[in-house]
Amino acid sequence: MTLVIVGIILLLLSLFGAPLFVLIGGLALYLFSSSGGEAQFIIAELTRLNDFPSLIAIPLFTFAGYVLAESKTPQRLLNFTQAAVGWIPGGLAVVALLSSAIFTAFTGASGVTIVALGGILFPILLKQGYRENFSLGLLTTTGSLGLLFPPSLPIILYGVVAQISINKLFVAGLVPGILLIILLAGYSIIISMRTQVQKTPFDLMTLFRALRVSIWEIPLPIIVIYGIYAGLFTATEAAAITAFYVVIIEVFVYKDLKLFSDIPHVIRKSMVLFGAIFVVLGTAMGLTNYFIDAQLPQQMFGWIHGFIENKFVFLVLLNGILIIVNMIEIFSAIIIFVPLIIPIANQYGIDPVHLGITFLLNLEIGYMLPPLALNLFIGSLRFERPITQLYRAVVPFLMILLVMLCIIMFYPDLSLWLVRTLNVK
Amino acid sequence: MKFIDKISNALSLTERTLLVLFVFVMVGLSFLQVVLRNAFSFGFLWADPFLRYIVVWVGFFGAILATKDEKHFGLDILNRFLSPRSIHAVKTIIDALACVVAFLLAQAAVQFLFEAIGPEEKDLFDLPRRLYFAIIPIGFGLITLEFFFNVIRNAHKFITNAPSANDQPQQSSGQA
Repeated sequence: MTLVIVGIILLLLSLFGAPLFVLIGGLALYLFSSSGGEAQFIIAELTRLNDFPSLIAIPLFTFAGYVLAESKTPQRLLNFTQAAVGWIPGGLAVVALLSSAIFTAFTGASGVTIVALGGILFPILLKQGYRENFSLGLLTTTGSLGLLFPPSLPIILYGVVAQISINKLFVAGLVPGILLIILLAGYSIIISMRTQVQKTPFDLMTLFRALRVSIWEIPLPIIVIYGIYAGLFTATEAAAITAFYVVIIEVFVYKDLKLFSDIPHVIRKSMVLFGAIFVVLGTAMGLTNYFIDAQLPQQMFGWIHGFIENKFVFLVLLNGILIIVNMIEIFSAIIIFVPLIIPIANQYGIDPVHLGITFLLNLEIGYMLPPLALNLFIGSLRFERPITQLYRAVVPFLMILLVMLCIIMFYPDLSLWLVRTLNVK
Repeated sequence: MKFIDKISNALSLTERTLLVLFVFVMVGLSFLQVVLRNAFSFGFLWADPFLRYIVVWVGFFGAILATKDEKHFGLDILNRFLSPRSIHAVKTIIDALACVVAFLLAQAAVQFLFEAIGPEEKDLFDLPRRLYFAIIPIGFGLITLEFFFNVIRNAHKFITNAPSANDQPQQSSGQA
């Protein structure tokens, strides 16, 4: 009974904006002291973060992503993809999909894609004759597209929290991620053919010029993705290479950022995000451990299994709940729910890697789900359109993502096939 | 108010300087380690454990600055329906509560440091293990202090009825 009251109070406090780590820490303190334990156990659990070798990938990739976002990379990336694929029907929409996917994978899907790329693309899309609502929906969707590709931050966080190989998750996300882009590109091409938008003519010289300008940035995704897929290095090593490389090119080659004035500023901004993730992770260690010691996942499994025996029905219901949770809060949802869900899903015979890809696509949808998703607010501010217009604009794209989510749920092999074929460890 | 801002700014300068230093070390050393390992099949044995400690220090400094910037993850749904003045009142209460919880965590961290780790336990470079974990009580201590400053700032705004600085939805993420 007291637990229910405590739960209601916590929920109310969180709805009024109390930091989640404070609520998690407070609940952990309460549970440990009421069961006769000492508060220092929570800290002992926090120090276990020190044993996670891949944790360092989070600050390194976060930092690298912010360096790229603060430089002129978005513009160069856009010029290059436009010169390369802008000439096909619906070319500009496909350009938006591809460049955003790459950019989001590197910057960790924190709304920065909409601010940096979406802001440039929106007026160009309108000028070429794309309908306003189509453009708004497309660009809001691209804000989280790319979340399934390496080295996206949510994948790494999922791997750290679930304690499964990040490289496996990277490989598993590839096929579903590409398929999703193909579906969205197909839809965009059909729409653009119907609305008869302008075409960009192909010009070899423009492509060559764009290639020459981006020559230092193009190798980055190739090195990281190839290196990881070929098993040349781990996610942590890829993070170290990326962080170092982006500083060198943006500071010394492109000279977009200054080492002693801009980089400290980028460090502060990016490490505030890492710090926010870190304290939730640190305080949640104690809480989830308490729940696991109390065999909460087993009890929940026993209870749920009384109603649902089929694993796919379970997966559908789980995704229904997760989509709401992911709409409200992104990184914390991974940290708090994943350790509890994995043991339950295991009992249903669901592979944790398959669950991970489902979870991450669900997260991608959560980013744009009306009425509370983050990217809707960011998009509304960036494109200067009422949020209710964005609610309508995202609907067709939301449908495509939901169809994709169902496909991923019901065909585990889509995620697991490549992992097995490449024999990723 | 000015007195608080002075302390807060002085602290923030120190925190930022240390943070930048640690991140430079983290980026440089982890890259060096990859190069050495892959090109020369060699590596410093101390580097990986050292980097893991650096990550914890960086995480706490980031968390302290996140407290100052009010960038911690939270749901913050109901505040959208409140008047600016009631937001200051709600924030004062929430920050006061956060201040208490952060203080209890800091206290638990002090207890951990002095009870769970012996004074003679050594770690990397033969330095006391307590030194490496000192960031936990320091971190939660400074977070407590930042929440305390936020309480006073918000209470001050509530009393003087200052206009709200951030009526933008700040749902999550570190984006400015």
